[in-house]
Amino acid sequence: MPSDDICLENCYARHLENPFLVLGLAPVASGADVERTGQKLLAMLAAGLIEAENYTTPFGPAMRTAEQVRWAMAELRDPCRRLGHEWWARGWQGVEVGT
Amino acid sequence: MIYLLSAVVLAAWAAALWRHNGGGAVARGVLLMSLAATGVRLLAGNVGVWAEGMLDVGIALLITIVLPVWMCVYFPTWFAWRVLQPFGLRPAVLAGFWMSALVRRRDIPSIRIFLGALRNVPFPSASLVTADAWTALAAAVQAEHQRAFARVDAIIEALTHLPSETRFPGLARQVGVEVLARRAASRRDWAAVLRMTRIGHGRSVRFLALLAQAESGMSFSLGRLRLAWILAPMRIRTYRQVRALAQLSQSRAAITPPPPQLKTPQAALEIAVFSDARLRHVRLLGAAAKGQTIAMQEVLSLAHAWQKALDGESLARLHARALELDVRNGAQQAQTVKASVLQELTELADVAVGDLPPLGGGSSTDSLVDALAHSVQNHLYLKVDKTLAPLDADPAKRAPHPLAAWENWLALREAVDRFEQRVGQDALKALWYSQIRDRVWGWAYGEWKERGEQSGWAMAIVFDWMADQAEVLGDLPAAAINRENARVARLAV
Repeated sequence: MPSDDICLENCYARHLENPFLVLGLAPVASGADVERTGQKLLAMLAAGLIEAENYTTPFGPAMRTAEQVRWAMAELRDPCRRLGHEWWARGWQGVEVGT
Repeated sequence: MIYLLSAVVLAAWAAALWRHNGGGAVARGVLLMSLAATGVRLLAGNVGVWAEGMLDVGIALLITIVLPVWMCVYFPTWFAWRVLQPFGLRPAVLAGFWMSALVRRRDIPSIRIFLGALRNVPFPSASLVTADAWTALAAAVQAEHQRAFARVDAIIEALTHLPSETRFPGLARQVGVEVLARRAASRRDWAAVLRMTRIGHGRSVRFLALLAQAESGMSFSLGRLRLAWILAPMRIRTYRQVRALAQLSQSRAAITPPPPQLKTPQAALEIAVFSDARLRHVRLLGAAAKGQTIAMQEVLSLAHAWQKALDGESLARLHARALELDVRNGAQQAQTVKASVLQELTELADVAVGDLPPLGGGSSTDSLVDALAHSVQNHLYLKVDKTLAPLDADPAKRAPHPLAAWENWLALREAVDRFEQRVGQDALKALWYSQIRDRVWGWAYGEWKERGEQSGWAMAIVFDWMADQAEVLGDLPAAAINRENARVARLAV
């Protein structure tokens, strides 16, 4: 039987996987910032550094993987997609993430 | 006098068994009782010689009637379930159930499926599955293994609201409900335990119901909880929990102080949650995704907040930013954002508790609330349509066994109930005549014709539901015919 909870869980997970949150960047970050931070996180994850394995969201910490970082970078390279993510990410600007 | 009394008691017992469990159970019961009585008689003879005529009438009745009745009615299932089942001795457990006069001969294959489900054994081939309360409980146990709790809830909900004459054996209420309630208790889902124990009975179920009441903060009597714990099995395993509840209930006399005032950064989040629709939106999605109950009022209030957040100025800013990013179709992007918000609001409204505002009821500034009401209605209609699809009269598209067919119908029933609650009876009436009635009727008739008594229990419930719906919607001919169909299907069980 189809479950509404699964749809809701997917929607919620999608919001918490906002590329700006995954990369730990503000919505105003430039393309160069995105690339630099993404590469840095990939290197840290490849080296197995624990501090790179989690990222903070307004609703608690979440797990970060190399696939997510690559996906986030790809999303922010596309201006159309970036616009949508940026608009949502502005919602939690000014909130101390990770509370 | 004692012989006359014994004969009357035995005749009443046999008649009750005949009515509930059929002639086979009586024959097995009489056979077992004869064996038990012979054994007890030998014992009683020796006790009688030893007591030298000092036993009174009460003890004589206890030895000659009560003990044999208990031995052959309750002992086999008790021994099979409490002693043999924990060791996984499925054939021995099944033999114990067979020897009990509480079990109907035709329930044995379904009990086998239920015992298999406890060990995560898949259902056998379709021809061996009969839809009844035992197999429904087996499906619920299987869903528990798969952590498909929505499916467990749907089955429990259906068993809670069975039509009055539908068969639900006492032993299934005792054993099957105990298994499910224990599993729900082990994951501390006390609301589910309370729902499940409503349809069960027995010592263990009674204890679990009281435990769930206590654990979920409802008022409870400590004395009753302790008594239920003493009477229930598995006392050692639950001792600590009962002791902790007893200590808690004794320390509850104090008045609870208010929660401490929020300080940053949690306070900053709370303030932001109330000031920004996006944050409120994600917070509400999170609450709903975690299975918390959300009120329709909260969803409507969020829609009002979105109405302001998605006004011309906000969308103009988005458009301007689109130009900065060199996105050509900025207006289209703004519409995409709006559509995605509406879609997620619809998901939230779908699970929220409460009434939707009537269509066109919102003010001119509440176009999003109106769009939400439209979208929810459309969503509910699509759900009815989707759940109707598997109910096909075509034998080639039929569910693999009658219980799976019954579960398909459970999904439809839930969708129809939601549609009626949210959209209203007039819209349901139109849907009843145009889509539901003939399709479900044709499907149930096909199931019955194809599978006969194997599907009798399930189809009696479906025909009863059809009759109830038809009655409420004023379709009296369909109500009368389906009531009769339900009666005929029930006779086969």
